[in-house]
Order: sequence, then C-alpha cells, then structure tokens
Amino acid sequence: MCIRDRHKVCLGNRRLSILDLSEAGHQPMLSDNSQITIAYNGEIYNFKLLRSELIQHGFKFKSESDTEVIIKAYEFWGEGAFEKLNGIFAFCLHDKRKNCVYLVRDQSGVKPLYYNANINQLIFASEVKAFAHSGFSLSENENWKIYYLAFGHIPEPFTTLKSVYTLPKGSFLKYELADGSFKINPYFEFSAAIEIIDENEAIMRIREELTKAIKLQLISDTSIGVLFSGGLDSSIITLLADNYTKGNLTSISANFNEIDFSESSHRKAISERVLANKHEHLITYRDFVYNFEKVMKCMDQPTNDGINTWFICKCAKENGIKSVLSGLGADELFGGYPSFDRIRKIQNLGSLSKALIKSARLLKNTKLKRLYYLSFESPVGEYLCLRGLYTPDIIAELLGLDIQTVINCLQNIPLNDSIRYLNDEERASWFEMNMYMQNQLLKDTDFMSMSHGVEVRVPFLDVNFIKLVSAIHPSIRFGENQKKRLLIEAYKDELPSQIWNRSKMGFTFPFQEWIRKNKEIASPDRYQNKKAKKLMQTFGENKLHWTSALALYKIFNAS
Amino acid sequence: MPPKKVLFLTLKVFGFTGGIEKVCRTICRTLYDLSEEELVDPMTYCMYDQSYDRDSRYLKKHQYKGFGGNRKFFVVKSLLTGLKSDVVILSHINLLSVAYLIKRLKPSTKVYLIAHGIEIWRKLPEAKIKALKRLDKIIAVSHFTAAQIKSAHHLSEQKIEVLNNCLDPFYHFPSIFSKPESLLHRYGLHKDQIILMSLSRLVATEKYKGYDNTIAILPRLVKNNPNLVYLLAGKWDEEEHARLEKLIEQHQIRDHIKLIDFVDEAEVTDHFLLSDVFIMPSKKEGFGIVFIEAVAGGLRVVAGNKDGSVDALKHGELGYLVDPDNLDEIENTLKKILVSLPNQEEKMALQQKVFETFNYEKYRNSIKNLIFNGAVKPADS
Repeated sequence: MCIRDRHKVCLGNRRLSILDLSEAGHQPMLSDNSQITIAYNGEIYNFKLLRSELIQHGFKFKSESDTEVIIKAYEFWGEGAFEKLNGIFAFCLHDKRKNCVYLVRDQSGVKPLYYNANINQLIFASEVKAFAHSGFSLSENENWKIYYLAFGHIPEPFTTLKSVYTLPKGSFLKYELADGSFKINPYFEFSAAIEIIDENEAIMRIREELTKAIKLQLISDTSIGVLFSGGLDSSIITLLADNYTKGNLTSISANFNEIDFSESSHRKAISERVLANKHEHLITYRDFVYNFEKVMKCMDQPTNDGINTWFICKCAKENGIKSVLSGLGADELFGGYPSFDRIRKIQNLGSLSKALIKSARLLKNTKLKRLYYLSFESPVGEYLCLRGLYTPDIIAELLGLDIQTVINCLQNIPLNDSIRYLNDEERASWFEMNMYMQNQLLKDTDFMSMSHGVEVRVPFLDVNFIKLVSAIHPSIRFGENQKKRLLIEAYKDELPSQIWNRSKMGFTFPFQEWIRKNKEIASPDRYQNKKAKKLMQTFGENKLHWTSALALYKIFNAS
Repeated sequence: MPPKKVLFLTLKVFGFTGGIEKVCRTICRTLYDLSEEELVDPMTYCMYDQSYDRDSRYLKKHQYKGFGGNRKFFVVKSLLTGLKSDVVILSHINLLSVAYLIKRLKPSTKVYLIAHGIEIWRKLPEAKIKALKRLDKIIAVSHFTAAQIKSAHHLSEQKIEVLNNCLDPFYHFPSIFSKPESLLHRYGLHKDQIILMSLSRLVATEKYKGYDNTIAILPRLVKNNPNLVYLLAGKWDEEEHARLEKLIEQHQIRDHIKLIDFVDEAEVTDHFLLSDVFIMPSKKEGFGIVFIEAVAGGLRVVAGNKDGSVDALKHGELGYLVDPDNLDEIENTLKKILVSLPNQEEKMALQQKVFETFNYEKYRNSIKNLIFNGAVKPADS
C-alpha cells in the first residue's frame, strides 16, 4: 500500500512473486527519485531486453524485477514506453511531476483492468469485486442480468457495477489530478493489412514466431508448467516448451472417470515424446460438489466458463507451479470453433426480411431460435446468434421486462468499427477474439487462475504472433474442410496424427452430467421464478445446455 | 475369437438410486471394461430411463439405449438384439417374458437372471416359474435370496448360483476417518456427539427397513447418551414423512433425530464419516449394498439377521447381526458398540476387510466367468 497525501493517491497491491522474489521486487514501487510510483499486475516478457537498452542509456537498476523496468522505461520513453512492453500487464503509474495517474492495459487484453472515473475520483482494480472494498459505494448495473443471460458473461466495457468499466486492451487512461479530467488513448492497434499470401512462408513464420513467443514466456524465477489437455493447441505448446526447458517443465492434465471425457490415451502420444514431468489429476463429481461454492466465490464477474480453469489451476498449485502456459487463443486465430462454419450461412440469412427472421424465436431448437438475433441492427446480433444463451423473449420473461427493453439494451452495446469491413472467417475470428475470448475466456481464466495464485501465460496471444497471423491471407489461414488447418500443417511433422485427426475436445469437463445430477443446482423446486423453473425442467430432460442452466442458478438460486 | 455379444436388459439404471440400480450400473461398467479388452461387444437396454440419463462413468454412449417407458418398443428391440446375442443378462424378473421368447427362438443364447430379493421371493404365476426354469442360470445376490428362490419356486440347485454384490467402482474410500466439519455445521451437530445413521428410501409402501424399531429404542438409548442423535437419511414420500413426524412426536425424540432427506452421491461417504454407527435392522434385504458402503466408511454396522444382510456383513465378521424384531437385542448391541467405538486403525482395518471381500475387480471377474464359462465361480473352485 502506498498513500501519497498531497495528491490523495493511494495504490495497493497483492503480489504474486514470479520474477525477482526478493523484497526489491515488492510493490507499489517508487522510482529512484520517488517521483513515479507503480502498482502492477502481470509479466513483461521482454523486460531483460528493455533493461539492457535502458542500461545503455545510463539507467541503473536496483532489482531484477520487471516492475522496475516499467518505471525506467516510462522515465525514458514517456507514454511511448507502453507499446514497447511485450507481455501480459495492467498497471497504474502515478507521475508526481506531471501530477497525473496512468492506467495501462496490455495489447492483447490478457490482464483485466477495471476503473471508475469522474471529476472527483479515479478508482481502479484488477477485479470488480475489489470495488466493494474501496470504501466508495457504487450502484449495481441494472442491465447486467440481461447481458449475462444473453451472452453468458458481461461484455466489455460493462461490469456488474453501473459506473465501473473495463479499460480497452492496448490503451491507457490518463487522469489529471489537478482537475479530475481524464482521457482514454489507444497506444496500440492490430493492423488488418494482409501481407502473407504464400502458405510456405506463412508456415515458416508461424513456427518462427511461436517459438520466439514460447521462449520469451518461459522466463520465470519459479517452476513453470503447461496446461496440457491433449488437444492440438496444448500439444503444440507442450512440445515446443519442452524443447527449451530440458526436463524442467511440468505438464498438468485433468482426467475423469467419465469415459466420454477421458483424454489420457490421446495425451499418451505426446507424453512419450517429451521430457516434462507429467501430472494427471483425477477430477470427480465429488470434487465438483465439494468445490462448487468456492468456485462461485472466486468468480469475479458472472460467467459460464472458468470452472475448468479453477480446477486445473488448483492442480497446478498443488504441484508447486506458479506459472503455466496455455493453448488459449489458437481456436480464435486459426478457426477452431463451429462459428467459423456457421458465419457464411448467417451472412446469407441477413438478406431475409426482418419479420421472417424474428419468427425464429417461435422455434423450439435453441440454435435455430437464436436466429432471431439476426434481426438486430448491430453486429452484436450476429455474435449472439453464434454464441448467445437465451433469446430476448426468454430474457424478458425471466426478468419481468419488456422485450424491447432487452433488445435496446443489447443493441446498444458499443463495438469497435473494424468489424464493419470484415467478412466470412475473418469476421468469425473477430467475434471470437474480441468478444468471446476477450469478454469470457481471458477474464475467466485470469480470476480463476489468480484465485490459486497461478498465472496463465498465453503464447498464441503474443503480440507479435497475433500481428503475424492477422497478416496471413484468410484463404490460407482458415481451412475449409479441416479446422485449424494451417496450424496443423505447421506442426504436422512433430505431432502424432491422433492429435490433429479428431474432433475438438480441449479442457472439456463433464459439467452437463455433473450439474444435472446435482440437486442444489438443477432441481426445479429450488427456483421460485416460473420461467426459470420451467427451463430447469427442460435441463432435467437434457434439452438445455449446462451453461444456460448455470446462468439461471447464478441469477435465481445462488446464495 | 470375435467378442461375445452381450445384451443386458434392465428396468432402471441411472434414473433411480436404489440397490438394484447400483448393481445394474456396476454390471454396465463390467461390460464396458470387458469391451475395452475386446472380449465382449455389449449393449444395455433400459426400459424406463432415457438415453440421456446415462452416467458416462459406466459405459459408452453407443453401448446404452434408454426407452423412456416405451415398453413395446423395448420388447421388440430386446427381442431382435437378443436373437443376435450370445449372452443375455436380465437385471430383473419382470424382464422374463422377453428372455423366454429369445430362449425359445434361439436356444443357443445363454440367458441369465440376476435375482435381487423381494421381487423374486414372492409367489409367482406358473408361467413365470416355467420361464425361470428355462433360464440357463439364476444369479442370486445372496445365499438368503438363493434359498428363498429354491424353496419358493422349487428350482434345482444347479440352476442357482450366488454372486454377492460389490462396492461401486467409484465409491469414495476415505483414508482419514474424522467427522467432516461442513456436515457438522450443516446439521448443527458437534464432533463429540454420538451419531447413529440409516440410509434408505423412506416410502410408505416399504415397511421392512427397520427404522421404526430404531426410533422405538431411541428414548431408552438417549437416557444413557443424552448427546445421541439419529440421522435418518433418504428420500421420503409425503405419506411416510408425515407418519415419521408423528412417530417422532409420539416418542418425544425431536431433539435426537434428524430427517435429512436425499443424500447426494458425492456426500454419501462423508455422511458415514459423520456417523458412529450405521443401523438398519431390516427384514427383507436381498443383500444391502449400503451396509458394505457403510463398513467401507469405517462404521460399525448393525443389520438384521433374517435376510441377505447376513451375506453383506459376512455372517457377522463385518458388523453386528441382530434379530430385527427384538428391540432389547438391538438396544443391547448398540450399547455394547457405543462403549468402545473403533479408532482410526480399526476403521482402516474394517475398510480393508470389506474391500477384500466385496471389491469391484472380483465382481468383474465373476461376471466375466459367467459370460465365458456359464458360471460365476471358476470351474476349478
């Protein structure tokens, strides 16, 4: 905790020590002349490089930490320093000389950063839960239940609190302490320009950049692990990381009694090829029941995902691992989801009359029912058609609202303009990267992993790797008949065929079975809301996905 | 040798949590394990469950079909598949008619029936007894069930073989026998209290579980042990619930009994850990899987000595067998147990013993023997 009376600035930090475990790395950290203070969450992978550069420019360092590098980089390059940082980070800089405070978030939006800003105050935290402890009373966002029931998460920039927002990725907020004015400035944006049209070049560059990213992300003063599901993405990460750790890597995998979900035979093919220490953890229905409440408490923002991350990171922690590499991001970049197939069909339906599309809500099939969302003016409708939970009519009934209120609320969600110019798989990729991954996967992964004091690193989301993949022509980048074709082609020689020649599984847990079996969550008797009760009955008949059931639990049943 | 085609016919497997269903699930897993060894090609049909009720710990999706109560369709499919099968296993006597047809049309198909308890002891119509006699073997879950079948239906000794039930392959074996704080908290109990427990369905139509007798002796037990509490666990029906409430009032034991309703499978072991004695002096158990589960949870068990419970408690080696109608005997047995409750090591030894006797691997081997040799016991034993 660091309180600076004259400027009324207070920074607090709870540190997960990974680089420079000594006291020299403690935070909040002050610059040599005490003019700059930082509270920082994350990891700067290229900090050694920047450190050397700064030393050449005459800077002297007291610690081995990346935190000090950020301070000195800022002292030297000013705001220009932010773009030079390669890593996963969210930090606050208090500059006494300029009498301002900066909030800065990484380019890929891996680390979360929430803020509440007005003329009188700037409050920020890496979790929304923290605001309740800030001493300021912030009212609930009355729309959060609509968002959650439609998306399965709360989309950026919104949160469950009315005036608390997410800072956009690749941007910084500058708050002037003198007059309470503030502005959000993007310091980095991924370019949409296509530069690579040759497949061999693409493959060569992918191999080069991913290796670089992994080598960079293996820096740590504590033991490092890899979340290894046995799927394509985590297998690639495991194989590559193993090359550079010489047996110093630990692979963490989950196993289940449920036959449909057991992936151990697929993992075997990779396990035999690597030196890494292998840890397989059996996660049972009993574990689920005994930990469910704890998991719900760790859930910073309502979401339908992250329970699997909570369990797998618990396993990592039990093995003494503080940092793990994950395959997150590859599905979004290379087209691993069904949305990449569906997007063209959806685009074609866009030409139908709105009245006809709206009639889709009368259909029984959940996927078809979601076609209703195509009647929206905003591209948000397309996303919700691909990935939404409930349609506006059901949300309105559940929450006792007028359907138009629900529709207006969802249509008014701001989206980045870049989506206008994208079509087909590129459009699907944009939705997956900027909405599903940004709003759900990354957020969930962060709070669930950090609840165990485990940091998840995501080599596929390395800023240079994303830049490269975005520059590959879509006809090469996305496979028509095979999901993630280009990634498979890039690593076909190293990967056993059973890893890529099968349907997607990943870290899939038997939640449908477990939740249906658990009366606390699934029994319709526990729901007072008539519609929720009815929907839970259909869940009992296996006609509703567990994510939809969990949303009802969070809103109507959770204590 | 191509894998043997095995058809397992059931009434309910996953949609219900009784003893018969537990046996069915274990047989499903056995067939799955044997299919992984490429020894059998199994299929399970379930008359009343839906296909989506399948618990994927026990078998693969393509190895199971639920007919959701469509009996005609179930019978037709069972007959057609049965005629293509080498072995048909029936989980219940109510499935006898379809098996009889299979046996008539294709005598080379081996047909076995698992006989649990009360459903097969009672008087059966002549046609059913005739059909029973055509089966290749009846597998009784206890010696008591076997004896009842023999005497009630005059079946030959060679037709009947005993295969005791086993612990579920996914039963959670505790290694530390301390009372779980979360459950103490949930029920407002403290760790020094003596806790008796029973676990069964509480239904008005089933009057043989013996909890009425436990309730009846409770006032006497409480006199010597004022801290004693009886946890009556299990899903109740309204009629039985109302009757039990009255009984509690009548005996004035409100402070010493808790009706705790359905216990989630995930919490069963912890409920055993919470308790000191498992008591269910029932009279018509075919076997009583719950007894062996309670012993595996380190509990002293009191069961009736007039039914299949005798096998479950290994003639008294694994617990106490009492005359279920003799209240004094039940009370005295409990008093004897309560003066010297087992310590950690004794509980562990008890668990080991029940595991050695009723483990899943042994059971699987027996079913394998049945499929391949027509007898659950190896030929040389």
